Amino acid sequence: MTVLLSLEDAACHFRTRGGTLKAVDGVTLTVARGETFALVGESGCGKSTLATLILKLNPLSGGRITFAGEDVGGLRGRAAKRYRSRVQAVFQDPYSSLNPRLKVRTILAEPLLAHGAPRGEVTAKVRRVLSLVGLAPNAAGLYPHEFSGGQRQRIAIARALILEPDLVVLDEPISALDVSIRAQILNLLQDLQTELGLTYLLIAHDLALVEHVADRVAVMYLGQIVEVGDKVEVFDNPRHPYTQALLGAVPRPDPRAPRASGQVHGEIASPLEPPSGCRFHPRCPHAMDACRRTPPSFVKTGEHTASCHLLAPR
Amino acid sequence: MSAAKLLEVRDLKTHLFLKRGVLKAVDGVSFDLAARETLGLIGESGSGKTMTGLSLLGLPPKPAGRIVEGSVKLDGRELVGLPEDVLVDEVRGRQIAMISQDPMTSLNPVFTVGAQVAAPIRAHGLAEASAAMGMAVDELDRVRVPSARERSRDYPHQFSGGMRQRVVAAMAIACRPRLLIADEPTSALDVTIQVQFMDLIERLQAETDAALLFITHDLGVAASLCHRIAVMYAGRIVELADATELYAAPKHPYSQGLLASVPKLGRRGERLTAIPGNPPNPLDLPSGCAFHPRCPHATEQCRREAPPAVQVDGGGEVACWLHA
Amino acid sequence: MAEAVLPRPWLGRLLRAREGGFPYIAASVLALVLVCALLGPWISPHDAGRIALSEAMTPPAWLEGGSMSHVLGTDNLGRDILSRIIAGARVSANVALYAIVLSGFIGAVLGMAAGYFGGVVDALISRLIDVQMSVPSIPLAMLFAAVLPPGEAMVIFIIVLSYWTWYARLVRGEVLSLRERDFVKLAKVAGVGTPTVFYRHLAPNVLNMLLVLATLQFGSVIVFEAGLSFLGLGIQPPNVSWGGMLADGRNFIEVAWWLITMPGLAIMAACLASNLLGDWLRDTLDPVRRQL
Repeated sequence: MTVLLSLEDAACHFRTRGGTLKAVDGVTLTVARGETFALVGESGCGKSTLATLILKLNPLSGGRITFAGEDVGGLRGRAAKRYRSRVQAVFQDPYSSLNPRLKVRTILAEPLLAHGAPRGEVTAKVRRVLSLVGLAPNAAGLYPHEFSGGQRQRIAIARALILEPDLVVLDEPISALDVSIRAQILNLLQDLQTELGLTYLLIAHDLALVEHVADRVAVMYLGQIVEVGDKVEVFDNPRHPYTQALLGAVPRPDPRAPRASGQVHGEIASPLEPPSGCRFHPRCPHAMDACRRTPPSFVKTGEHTASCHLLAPR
Repeated sequence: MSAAKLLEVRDLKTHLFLKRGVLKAVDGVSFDLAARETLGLIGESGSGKTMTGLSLLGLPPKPAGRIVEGSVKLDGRELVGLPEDVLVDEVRGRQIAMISQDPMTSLNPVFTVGAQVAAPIRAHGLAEASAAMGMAVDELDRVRVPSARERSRDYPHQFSGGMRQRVVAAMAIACRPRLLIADEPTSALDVTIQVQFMDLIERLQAETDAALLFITHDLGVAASLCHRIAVMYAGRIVELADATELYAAPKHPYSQGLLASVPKLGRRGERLTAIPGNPPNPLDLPSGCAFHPRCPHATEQCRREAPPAVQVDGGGEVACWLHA
Repeated sequence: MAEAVLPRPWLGRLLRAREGGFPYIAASVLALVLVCALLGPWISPHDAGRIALSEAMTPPAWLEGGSMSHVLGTDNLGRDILSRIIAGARVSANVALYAIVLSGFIGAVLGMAAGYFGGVVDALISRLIDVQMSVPSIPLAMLFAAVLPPGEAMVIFIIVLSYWTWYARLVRGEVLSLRERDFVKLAKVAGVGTPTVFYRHLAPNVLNMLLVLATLQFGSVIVFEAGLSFLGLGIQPPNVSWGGMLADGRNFIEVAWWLITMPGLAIMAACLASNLLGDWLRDTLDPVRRQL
């Protein structure tokens, strides 16, 4: 396994009127080339902020991000621009991610032109990437409003791929789409990955989706990773009480399946005042004294890591 | 199906008269609902499920929307065509209440939540001001808002998303409506909160004997909450069946496609079967069966004529020429 | 879905929205003002400056003692009022157009910079706007009138000084929300430079609002210019302006009401017309309203 992307103790803090908001607070993970690495968690857990760090939309407040051996934070000028061409993104809302005043041709050509591609090549590349995502060549001459949500998401994927990136950050790529076209887009993303050897960082709240496509999974809670490991391990044998609760809460599309259950009470705390010790302790059914006092450290078994006092060797 | 029908909807048609044409948002919808029963209305955005809910309340969007045909009977009383003041006094919030997706827009930011839960109680003359406030606190307690008495004096922004949705639920059940319409009430909530809310809504239904019309696009939520399910596509119900029957053996190609296309926990590695094509443009629906351009079984007849709803084995109804 | 693709969406909407109650009268009034401004010397019945004391204070044609050669009557020096209104239209339109284009440009650039960059840039520009808005414009005009050479340029300068803040505030707010739109973020992710983000992603998306505000302000600027000239701070004789005509006529209001009424009506009509047209534009360009 070659490491493509690694984060070491990455942090993103925002100063607000209410104090320092630690949206991402010490995240360490590695993404291997060619895999789909999924980040799951509920709203406010910091998974999307983590994506903005990798996309250099927000500055790191601490720690380090390394991409293909280079320190991302230190990239300037031409090197920074080259990084831009290697890491691309697809966001959730295909209505917000395409400029309504530009034709598809302009939207797709923009990244190429920004990287100095000769104009002659652009038309051919636009046509190729459109066929790659399953759109007809004449789509180039239309405006975004002439497409349905699913087609727009295809255009957004085409834009992300036109620079032939290594890593694509997929931030909830199907959750804003109609149910009947989610599978189309999901299958397309999987086909493209195989065909082009892409690495995906998938950010999602839908655990069934994650189980379906991911190779490895990290579960985030209040700015920190609480469990990370191989997908099969995490889904079959969740270690952290939060992961267990998340999995237990997913309603199954089968009326005969055991009813999803609420194993945790309360709601996610404010990242402005994260709880002491283990951040999950106020909601955890197994919380002990130690959980209130000290943050748990990571316990590793094979390729599966979780941070919980229950797992600590006695 | 139980004999005591609380709600009877027959051939309901709600159209939106827009500049660009007539949008047939609800185009001939029929279903029954008994007390304490939960009917799931599932479909994609634009399938007409929300508009069906609003039509039951006599609230199609103004000025473009109008109920053009059909009948809605609650306890045998026809609601379509009732004057606005009767609807306001006797139906909305009293006999039929609604919980919508976004609790923030259902709550007024400048009033305390206690006052807002008390408002429908007072408006429908069930209690005077001070007594209504006490009843509001009881309702907040019923939906498990912790320390309800103190919190009833707080404003909506002081509540979390999950708690706000509980307040909305308290408002909805305050007058003990016969029918509760819940429009995507859990879609904005995280899964751990969603589970809590689903438990709550089921308990409230049991305690108040209300019928529940649960509108959602989430097949998982519908499966765990609904007794029967109606699948909507392009303004029509294409399949209506018991939940177990529908999930085990869907009859309509659209229901089959939907169920095959969602990822399920524990079923990893399988390639999903996608429904081809895109949802139709509601202003320019395909001829015949609106699903035919995306249907793997479409025939010439499907292109020409819309299929009628027919009874099938297992007690359900399907609108598809394969079963006609 | 099957709509024809027009080169500029807003232009297309403009053309298509006819059935949505295009304000023909308002548009005609504004068109008339512009025609007068462009063709004034050729269409005016008399020389606006020609003094004929023998014909002084001739009432409008439809009153007793009126004459068809002076349809709207004459002033205290016997100058033809219609010709003077036509000449004044040139000044009003000129001042309004220059002032709006300049204040719109300055306001849009500063507003975009404040909204997009945030931080210190935003703080500086926002404070500048606050300070500017807290200074009453008439005393400011008096100050500049005392220092600067009088004339159209000075009037335009004063108007720009008090009007750019409107555009800046509007554009800043819009850009603050545009900046969070995904297509702006994704342009950055794709390595698109800041100037390109500005002209391709921000400017076209604030253009509609600028157009609406500019149309609405056309009338307001005409009134402001008239006010300045009325106070003697604006256009100086022998140049003709509607405000100046009001000032000249006010001494004769009891004996010759038309001296003040005619230019007053002209100001009111222009202002009302621009408000109506602006309202219509706003409704037409608003995608939500267009749906219904």
